[in-house]
Amino acid sequence: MRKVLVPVMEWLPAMGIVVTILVGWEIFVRVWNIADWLLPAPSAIGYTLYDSSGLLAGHTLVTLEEVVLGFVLALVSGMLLASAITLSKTIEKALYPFIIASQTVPIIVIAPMLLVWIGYGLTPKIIVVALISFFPIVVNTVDGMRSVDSDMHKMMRTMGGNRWSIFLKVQLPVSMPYLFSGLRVAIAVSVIGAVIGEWVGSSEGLGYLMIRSKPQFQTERVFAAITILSVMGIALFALIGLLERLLIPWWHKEREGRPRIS
Amino acid sequence: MNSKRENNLKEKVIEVVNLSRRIGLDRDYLDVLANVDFYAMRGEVVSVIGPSGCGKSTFLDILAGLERPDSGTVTIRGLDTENLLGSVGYMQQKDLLLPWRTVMNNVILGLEMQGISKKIARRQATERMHSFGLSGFEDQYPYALSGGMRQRAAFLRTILTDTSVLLLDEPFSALDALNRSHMQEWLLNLLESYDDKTVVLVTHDVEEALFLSDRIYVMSPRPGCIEVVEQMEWDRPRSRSLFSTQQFADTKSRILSYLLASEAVL
Repeated sequence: MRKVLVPVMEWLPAMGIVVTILVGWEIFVRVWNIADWLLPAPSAIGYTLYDSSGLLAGHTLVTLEEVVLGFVLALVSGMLLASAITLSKTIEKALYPFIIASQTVPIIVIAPMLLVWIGYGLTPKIIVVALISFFPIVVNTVDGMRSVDSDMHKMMRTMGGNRWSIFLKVQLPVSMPYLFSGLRVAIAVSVIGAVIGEWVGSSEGLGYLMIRSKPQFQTERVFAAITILSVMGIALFALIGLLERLLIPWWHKEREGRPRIS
Repeated sequence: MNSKRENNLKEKVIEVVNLSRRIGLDRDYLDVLANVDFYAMRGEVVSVIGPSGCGKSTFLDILAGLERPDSGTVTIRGLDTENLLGSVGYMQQKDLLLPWRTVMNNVILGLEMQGISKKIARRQATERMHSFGLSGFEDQYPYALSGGMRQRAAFLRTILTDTSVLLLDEPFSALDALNRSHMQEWLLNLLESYDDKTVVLVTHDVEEALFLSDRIYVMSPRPGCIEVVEQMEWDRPRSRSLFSTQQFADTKSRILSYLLASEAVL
């Protein structure tokens, strides 16, 4: 019983805030008689979620696919870049300025250009998602790989370790918790990336649906899409946390400092 | 003294002649070690003792091949400083166990890097788990171990690389007094069964040095140089009853007075 109760208790404050806001919002809309196209009541949004579930589900799957593929591309390229930067000072000096510069160019400017160069479809959206989410992955992973202290390097070298074996056996595993911190940030911005990618030009996806619904004054549909995007973000974030617990269990145990056997 | 040990003691394993090491560039330098002469025969345990900051750790780094001397020569079993890396066992103050590896996978790290197959490495490790007080803990992760066990695991990792020279940099300094005494006795007993190994022990615990070593080098504050050499004459195997002998007390107070006098200069 406690196993069920404790997580419920932990989520209680967040749920409380959500319920309070929804109830306040509902009352506000009903008492002041606000038009649906201006600000739909939560009940109206809820009804849209139910009523247009088929339509919404189709667009959700499109956006989810863009997010996941873009995120995976960012993960792979981010780790490769981080490894290259850690292993070679020359690569670091050659690439780091461009990696930082890539973040200062507004994505909203790059996205339409990708449309011109690559065209409609899935690819430009994946690239936008990857562009926006690879940065926290690279920066965090590089920091992690560099966090190996000099005594550890000494230990590996006296045991016959070289640059490559130190990288594989120490730097890479040490960087894993840092990588996961980067992934949490990356997954949240990935969702934004997919929506931006759809806004500048697409024929499907939740971003497209929002852009289409607004001029038609179907505001409750816009809010339904926002709701789905939020839930998607939270679910993916939680999934990363779950993967972290499964893949690097030693990290949490090390931090928790469990009682030691003496 | 048995004949094997007598034979061992004829072979000079470590020879350091007139070693100096300076850190920094041009006018902004620091003399860390100056004109150090040092030797160790096969099977000997030799301690280096001195005030903190006297360059003891730099000395071990040079013996391990991690750093080069500015002048003088270091020869270990015929190898010069250029070729020492990987052929001298070095255990540092911190246990440096990898938290994502089990005890077993931690202790075979060195063998793994020598290219020995995991199966053979695990077999070699299993044989020694008991004498290192680690049997039953092979599949545990380091976070679950006590400080003493972690230190023994780190020591087993060093021993398994099978180098003839072992450098120990204050291996027990992180442990509490009781644990430290246990570990000293354990190490003393263990080294009886590894009587081919030459051990260089850096410490600032005078009793530890007296208890464990055949010879003690006392270093001066920076720039570190060898001030005094004391030969420990008591026989092996040793026991803690040694602590109550007059000779032990005399040697201890002699070394302490050297150390205190050199501290006072600072």
